[in-house]
Amino acid sequence: MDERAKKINILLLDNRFVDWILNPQSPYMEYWLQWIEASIENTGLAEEAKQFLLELRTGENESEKELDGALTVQMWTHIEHTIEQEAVFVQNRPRRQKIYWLAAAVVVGLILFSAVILFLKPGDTSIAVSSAMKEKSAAEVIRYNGSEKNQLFFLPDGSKITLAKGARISYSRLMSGKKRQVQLTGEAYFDVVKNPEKPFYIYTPKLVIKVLGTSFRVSTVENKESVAVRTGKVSVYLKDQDLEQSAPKILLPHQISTYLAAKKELITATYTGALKIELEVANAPNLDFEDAPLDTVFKTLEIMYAVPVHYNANTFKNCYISISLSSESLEEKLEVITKTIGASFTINDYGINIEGKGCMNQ
Amino acid sequence: MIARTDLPMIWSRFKNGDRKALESIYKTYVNILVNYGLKITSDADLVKDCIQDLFVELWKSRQRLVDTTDPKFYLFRALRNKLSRALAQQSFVSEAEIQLSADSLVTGYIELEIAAKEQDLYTYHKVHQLLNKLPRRQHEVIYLRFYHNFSYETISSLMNMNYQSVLNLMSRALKTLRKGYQPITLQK
Repeated sequence: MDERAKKINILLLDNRFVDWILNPQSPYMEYWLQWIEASIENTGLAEEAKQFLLELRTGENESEKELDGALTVQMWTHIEHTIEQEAVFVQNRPRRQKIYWLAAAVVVGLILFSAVILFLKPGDTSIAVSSAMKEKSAAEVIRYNGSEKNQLFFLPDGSKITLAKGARISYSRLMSGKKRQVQLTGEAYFDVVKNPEKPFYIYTPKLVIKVLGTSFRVSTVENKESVAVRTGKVSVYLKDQDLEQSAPKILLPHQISTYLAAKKELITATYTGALKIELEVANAPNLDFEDAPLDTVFKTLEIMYAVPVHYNANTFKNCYISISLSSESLEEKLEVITKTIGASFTINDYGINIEGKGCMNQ
Repeated sequence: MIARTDLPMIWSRFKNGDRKALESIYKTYVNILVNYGLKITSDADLVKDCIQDLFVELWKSRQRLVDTTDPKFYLFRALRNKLSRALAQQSFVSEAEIQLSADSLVTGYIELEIAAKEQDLYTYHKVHQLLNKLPRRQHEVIYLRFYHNFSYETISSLMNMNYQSVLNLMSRALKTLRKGYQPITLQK
């Protein structure tokens, strides 16, 4: 495909462009008029994309069939007949009603704010590093998904997070302290490792979400925020509430809570079906090491957890390990690794130090 | 047909048990539902049956429905779910698998064929032939996006695919279509 065709496809893959062409009341009209004025190239591209789109529409229109009137009536008669018949038997029938209409309704909700995401340029995403976290450690880690796809991130406690495009989290590097705390902007899916002693808090611009261990999705886009729970139990607070005093909204699996900025309240509903964002296991790093140099193992951990690992490369140069790691916390992983090479480790806010005598040359 | 501005009112009348309101919703949407159904399967009887079931169920669950200004999305999604289930039962193969194999098989072939005919295809009347030669799901995306102005997010929910896959599907469709297409203004 040549450059020009690519550019036209980009326009056609843009909801705002298509809406502008198809919807006479499109809110994007002004935007595109300005875009077109910006350059002669833009004018030509928009013109060609528009024409192509309208011809596809004409093409679709030609295969649209007008239903035979008699058939329409006949189908309706059948519907009415069935409704009346079922009304007679309704009391004797077991309840086995389908609720996906409601599900569809909730999905509409999900779509609405996803749609908003799309319209945000990464640059516009406000970085609300808020004051909610009182002690701000120097070793704060910010992780940001600047790619086009959902991306998997690992937290030092073993929890996993999928960040949607443009989403960001920040937390103190090792999540030390009595709470595990994460700040979030954008949309994310959390799979939190259970640890009742160290509750997990997520701070969004408007909400505080507290969990012990569970999986759920959080979406914060401008003033639309919502939490949808997949498994476990989640407590949601409004930010101006006192965390210890006021009652949180408790969410159970398949519930979704949405914050309405206008009313300053949380609305809870049920959803069924899948969430738009799930744990991205596809891009998880391979943690099965076979006869791997120690260096490789540490590099993998450094990237996974955004934590530097300090060790004397020379001392450990002969160390090769075979190890299979999975969803342990960073600390547990380090324990397993250091045990196999007869070393020890210490952790501080700036990273991990490995001490030991190294391995024998085999 | 119901005027767009009357839709919320009709919808709430239907929710309160007004059978006439259901009838007007039926009359407003039955045509586009049949057309959409035929994009998913060419089995017209199955489409007809599913639409009938859909309205019966709509009536039964009316009290639990939310208010809406545009029921089209509900109706499309429900119809698609019904058809998918019915088709999967018919073939004993999951819908996803069917789509996967059908898509990968047909695309390559279509592209070859279109390339060969590239010279002949220049009038816009041919556009709808091009469309009908697309693999089913590619055609469906084009139809939903360009004909019904559903956003890509809505389509991903409707078709039960993730957002990126919808964009990929659309890209493939556009690529194939553009190969066979020449703008009218360039006609000699």
